[in-house]
Amino acid sequence: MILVSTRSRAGLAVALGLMWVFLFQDRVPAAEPAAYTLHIASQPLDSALQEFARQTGVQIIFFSYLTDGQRAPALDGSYSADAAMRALLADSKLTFRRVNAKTIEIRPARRTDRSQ
Amino acid sequence: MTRENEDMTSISEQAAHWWVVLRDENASAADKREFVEWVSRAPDRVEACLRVARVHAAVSREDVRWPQTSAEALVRDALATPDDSVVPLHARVHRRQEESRRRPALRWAAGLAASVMIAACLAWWLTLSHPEQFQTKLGEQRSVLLADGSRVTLNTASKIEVRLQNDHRVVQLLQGEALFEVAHDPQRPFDVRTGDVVMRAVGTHFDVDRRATRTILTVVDGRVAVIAAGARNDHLPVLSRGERVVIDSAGPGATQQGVNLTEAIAWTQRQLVFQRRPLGEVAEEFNRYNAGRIEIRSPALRAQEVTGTFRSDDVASFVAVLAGIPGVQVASDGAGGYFVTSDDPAKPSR
Repeated sequence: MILVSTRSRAGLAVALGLMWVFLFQDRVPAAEPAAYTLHIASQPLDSALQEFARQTGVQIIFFSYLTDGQRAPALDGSYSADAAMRALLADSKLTFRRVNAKTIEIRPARRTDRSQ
Repeated sequence: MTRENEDMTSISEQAAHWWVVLRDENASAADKREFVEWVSRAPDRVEACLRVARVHAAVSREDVRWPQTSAEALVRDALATPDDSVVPLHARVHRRQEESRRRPALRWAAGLAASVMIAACLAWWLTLSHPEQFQTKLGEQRSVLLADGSRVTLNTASKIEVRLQNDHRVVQLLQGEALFEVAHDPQRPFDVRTGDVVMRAVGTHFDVDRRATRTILTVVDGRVAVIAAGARNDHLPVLSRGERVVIDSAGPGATQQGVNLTEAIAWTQRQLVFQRRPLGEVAEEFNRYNAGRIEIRSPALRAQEVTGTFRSDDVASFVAVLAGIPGVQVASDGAGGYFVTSDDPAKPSR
């Protein structure tokens, strides 16, 4: 089509504007669901963290040695991801870092420096 | 049901019967002669044969996804498929004999129709000996429901070739990984082959992962026997639920027990679940699914064991984690992938 009326051009501009808004919104990290309903039995910390990932769809990763010999308490009820992480890591010397909206990395709590 | 309908049903059934008989590699010369005699008696029979072939072709089309595609849709597609070879056969060859005796032109037409019919039969016959192939592209997965009721789920970049016979079902895993859910049929053993390794199952659920130099068999349910393993056929294991064996050129390794099955078949949910796996292997897992490759250049970093759960297509988040490790640098390889280097030998810090 070669003939485009001013009106339809205006319409196009509005449409593009709306599209831009949607695209832009997409870039903003989607608000996480406020709470997850979790049922995680007390178990070794590494498998509890894997179970957390399975139940929430949040990606999780850590160096395996970090969780050696550690256990996690049971979780049963409604938790935000952060609250669940704090509860699972409560008995350990570990903390977590949000890599992005959907990814969590488990790290040592005592900020170990890299000069070794 | 009218008399005519009954006849049509029985012709379709007979055509289907011949389809099964002739697909068998062991079909005898007598079978073939009998078939030609049967089929050349009436054009309806050729048409019925072609209908079976078309339905079969429609069902085994690459883009058919089970179970999302309904049987009705397949039949509709099959009937809607234009098939030129069928057209001339609608000509009634079996006209009343007096008529054809009276009119030589008609007899000539009947002769032509008969030759077309025989040519069509030959074409149909040639398609019989071809096994069916199914494959997936990089990052793609699909489920295929086989005619015997078994389901095969193909992982990324995988390829299978299926032969279903009267006394035997054989799936060649030509490349990649597949999860098999085998329909129980003790009369027809179900074999999966990877090169010269053969695994036999009767009504069971198992995963076969074919890598460059080895085959990994994991049994999710039921039992699977390794019945051939290349050069080494002396100690062939039989695996039960939760067991795994790695078979390489040296034959089957020790059977591992208590395999984490959730982890083993997480790929069907597009998940990578890894427990104490060297980082280098985890990167390789991502590389199985994604065109942008991750290459970890530090051997010490590659050897670091990690535990976790990721979506198999979320390379970006995995790379973001790597980039956050102290002393680790991530650079683009210029082709959508990443080079990962480490300035110190990434010693774990306690």
